Amino acid sequence: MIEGKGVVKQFDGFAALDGATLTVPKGSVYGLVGPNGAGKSTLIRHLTGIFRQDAGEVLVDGEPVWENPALKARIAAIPDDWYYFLQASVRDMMRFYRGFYPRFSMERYEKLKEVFSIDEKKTIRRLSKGMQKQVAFWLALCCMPDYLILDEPVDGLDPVMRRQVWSLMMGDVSERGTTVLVSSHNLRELEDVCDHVGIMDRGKVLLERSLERLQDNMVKLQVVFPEGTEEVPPELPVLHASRVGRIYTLILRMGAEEAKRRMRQYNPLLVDAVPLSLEEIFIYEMGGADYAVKNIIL
Amino acid sequence: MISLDYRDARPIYEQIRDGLRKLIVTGALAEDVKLPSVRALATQLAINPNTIQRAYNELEAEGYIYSVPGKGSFAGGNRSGDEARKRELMDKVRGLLSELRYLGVSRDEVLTLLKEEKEDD
Amino acid sequence: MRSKTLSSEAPAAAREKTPGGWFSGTLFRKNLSRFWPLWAVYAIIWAVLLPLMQYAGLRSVGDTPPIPAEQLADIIRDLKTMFLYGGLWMSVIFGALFAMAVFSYLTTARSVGLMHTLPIRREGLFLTNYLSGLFLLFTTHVVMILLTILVDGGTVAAAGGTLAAEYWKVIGIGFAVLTLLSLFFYSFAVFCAQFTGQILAVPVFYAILNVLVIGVDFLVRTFASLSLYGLDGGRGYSGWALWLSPAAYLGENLRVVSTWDTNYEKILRYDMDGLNAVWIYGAAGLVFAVLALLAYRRRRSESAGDTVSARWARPVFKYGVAVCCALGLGQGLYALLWSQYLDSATSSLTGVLGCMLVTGLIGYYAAEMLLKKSFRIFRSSWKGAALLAVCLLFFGVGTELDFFGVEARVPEAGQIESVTYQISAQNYIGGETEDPARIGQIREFHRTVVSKKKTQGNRARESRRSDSYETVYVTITYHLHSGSLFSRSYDLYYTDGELDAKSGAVGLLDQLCSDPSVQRDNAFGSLAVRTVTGGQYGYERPDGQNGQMTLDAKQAQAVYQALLEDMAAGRFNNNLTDAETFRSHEIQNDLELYLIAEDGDSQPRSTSRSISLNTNCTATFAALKELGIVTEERPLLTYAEYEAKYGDADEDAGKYYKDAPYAATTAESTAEYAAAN
Repeated sequence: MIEGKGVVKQFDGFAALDGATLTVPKGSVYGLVGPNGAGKSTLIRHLTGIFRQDAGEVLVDGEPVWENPALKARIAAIPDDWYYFLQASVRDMMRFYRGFYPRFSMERYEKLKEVFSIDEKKTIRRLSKGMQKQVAFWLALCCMPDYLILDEPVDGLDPVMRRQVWSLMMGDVSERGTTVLVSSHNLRELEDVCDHVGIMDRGKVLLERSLERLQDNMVKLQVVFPEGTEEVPPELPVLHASRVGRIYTLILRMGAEEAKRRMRQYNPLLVDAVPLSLEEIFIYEMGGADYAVKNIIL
Repeated sequence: MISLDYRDARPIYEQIRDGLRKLIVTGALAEDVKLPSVRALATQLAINPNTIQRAYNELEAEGYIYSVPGKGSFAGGNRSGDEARKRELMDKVRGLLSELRYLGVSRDEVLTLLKEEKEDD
Repeated sequence: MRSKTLSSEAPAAAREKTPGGWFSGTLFRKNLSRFWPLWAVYAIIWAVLLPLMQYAGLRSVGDTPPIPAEQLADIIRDLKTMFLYGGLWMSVIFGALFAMAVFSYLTTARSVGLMHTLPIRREGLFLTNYLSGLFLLFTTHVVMILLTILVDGGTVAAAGGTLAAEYWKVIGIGFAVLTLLSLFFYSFAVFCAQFTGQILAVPVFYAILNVLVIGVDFLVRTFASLSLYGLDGGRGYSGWALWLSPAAYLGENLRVVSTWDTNYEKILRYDMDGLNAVWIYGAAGLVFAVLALLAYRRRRSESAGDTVSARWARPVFKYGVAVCCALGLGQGLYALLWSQYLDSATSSLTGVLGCMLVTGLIGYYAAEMLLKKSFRIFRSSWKGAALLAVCLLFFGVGTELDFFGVEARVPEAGQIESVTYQISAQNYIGGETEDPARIGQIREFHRTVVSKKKTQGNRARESRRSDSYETVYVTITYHLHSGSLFSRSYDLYYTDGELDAKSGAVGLLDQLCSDPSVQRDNAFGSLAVRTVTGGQYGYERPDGQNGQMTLDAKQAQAVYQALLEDMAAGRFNNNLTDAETFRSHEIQNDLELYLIAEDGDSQPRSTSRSISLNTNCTATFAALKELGIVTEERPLLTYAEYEAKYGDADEDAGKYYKDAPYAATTAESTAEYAAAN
């Protein structure tokens, strides 16, 4: 489990992290979303032990990450800008990682060589940015980590490779119980792979839920009320309502079944539950708070 | 086996669940055929295994599949199954029937359809 | 406990491989393979400096077959030179380069990101990188020394004996010197690297810190000489300031000194001097390594790319740059605009302060721009600029107004151990004394001069325009019991009237110059003369060539006695006059006496002194004439007379020692001395 408790970090007076709290359950795939400058990368750098927090705690498996080599040996990080030695080939970087990570698997390295089909003797500098990213993934996965922490990981990859990479990670999650933390702008993609989501803005984690809870606790109904009902019944806990002609679209904070049941007492002519995308869920969740929601969701 | 429609707004686990259900109902997944493991499906579709597990759990609760510890999940199972699902489907049928009525399909035509389906049993 | 259970889930192999993360063989090897080009350059240069040059030296033989002992002596000399000078400068330069290489990862966020996520402690990162650089340096030394031994081996074996023993000793010491010097400069550079996130700032900080203290000391002294009357501007430096500027200190003090034989014919031996400093700096190197580690532990990773990484160091950097610019560039600007003569009499406080303020502010804003990495810093940093301006003004005005009473200070008689003085007018009179009476005279002169500061200032300014005053340049250095030096120099402007009346400061000075003990000290210094063994009298032959007459012991002794008589009567003073008078009184002939004398506590040895005569030395003139040394053909001429006859006297100075039968005479006199005793 990864935990950040009230993490505060200031850069020359500017609070990049202002009491950020997050919990990533073991074996989950956690998506960290937020606008640019929210502090996602900064928080990630704390989780991987690069930065030291000014206040608060950063724990993995209950231990602080800071200066903890035993713990770091089980964490693999893929930053948005991966570093490799200037003249190093893939093989050279592999040897470097192998020397540091006790669980490094040569078997996996060979297997993934086929998957990525990149010449291991080639100088990394000469590969395209996308292929460099792939190498980063390749080597990180070979470290057989318990925790994978990724900062905008699939940005430079083509759709085929994206899927390939996610596929590998999902395999690890199901087989070895790897915990994955992913920061991204792209909610649509995260919807497929995440089971937990957290939104960050201005140095704080505003909201953190499991996908299941999010999906089960909100429903979009298309309702047509019978003649005579001109308004939405006020006693209904409606997050949002809009109308086109006689068709109301209502967002309710409850499960689909319960919503339909409650609707029946109004004898609607039409009740239809429409699925909500993750984006919409967030928009309506955050709609109650004072945030310019458009800014948060890209 | 299952393909996901990326433009489909439904949650993933629903798509998987419904997709599997369809395969079982149509008989494409015969009785006692082993379903792909959660892991295999996760890597094949590149989606979260917990999501798949959730779909499998719901299918099991609904009675479409059963699982043997250590061996995996299999098609078929307690057909007497899920009341909730039955109700859901009945509602859907009701919706379809009202649309058919709107289109002027007669009661007799519907009964004929019903007989045809039942005969395939 | 929960955490213990969880961590025990990790396979045993994992725990073994990272036993705390204090060192990484992988990283070490990676550093070696990454930085091999730098290593190669270092090795190649050393290869040329040591084994190859040794080889070349051994190969270049003349017609005769080489004598191993001679060759080995030469080898030893060359080795000493190379170890000391080569060792110093190679360490200064490559110490910094290797430090920059192994710690370059601290200067980009990308590489910091990789290194600090690896399962290794900061101490481990530091230690591994630090040792990598050291390893590269030391192995190069070992290999090169071994190669040198290989090249020299044959000669060493052939020569054998004490020389061979000395060879091995030199090799040993040389290795130690190389090790310690490179250890120090490398560690110092590593230390500097911990405080910045910019790779190019490392050599800059390193270079500046190597000479900073002595530089600032120099600048402050120069400023003091601008504003404080009598301060020895720019000459000399504080000893402690030099210690704190490593490259400067070692550059000054590491020397290969040669010991000549008594006849100054042959160099007997070469020795490496200043080695004590090497041991001390070597130890300091270890201290810097530890300090660097401590700094690294506290370093914030996000400072990669920052000019100064430690927050507390930023104002130090900012104000430090500002003050150095003010002191250095400010005074330079003043010299450019106002005056080339940086002395207190003619300097203008407003001018200096103005220049210092301008350059100080430029330095301040430049430093702020470097720190904030932006050009738009003027609005936010005006408070610091104001503070700086106020401080500079305070410092400038305070120094000028002499808040600390530095100008008027004359040490108490009880504090003084000895005084060194130099009085330069037409001639030069200098000496050192512990005699309380003379010290009293000097102190009185000093007090008088200080009290006449304003007058002197006016006269100095006048002298720039007209030639109305004579000048005498006086330097007084008090050696105090406490061990420190108190030094002052004054340009004293006086009129002929004042000199004739023997009044005021110049009168006191004239008194001092005429003092017999002063005269004696000026001629013979601190020597205790045992015997006079001979002499030499230079004169102008009728044909215009230089002639020399050798005096035997008897003659020389008689002349010496006459000299003492003249000195006792105070007749030797021809210092404080104008040029014309001087040249009409000063004798241009060379008179040299060979002496056996003791210098302090050392053994008596033969030496010589040149005596400057003037027309007042009646006793000496009489003696010279009586002894037949001075004749019609060998006349005593004043400079004025000589110029009237032959033209410029000074041109011929070089001709004199062409025919010196010096060695022979000395041997003669030594033998005579031995015979006499």
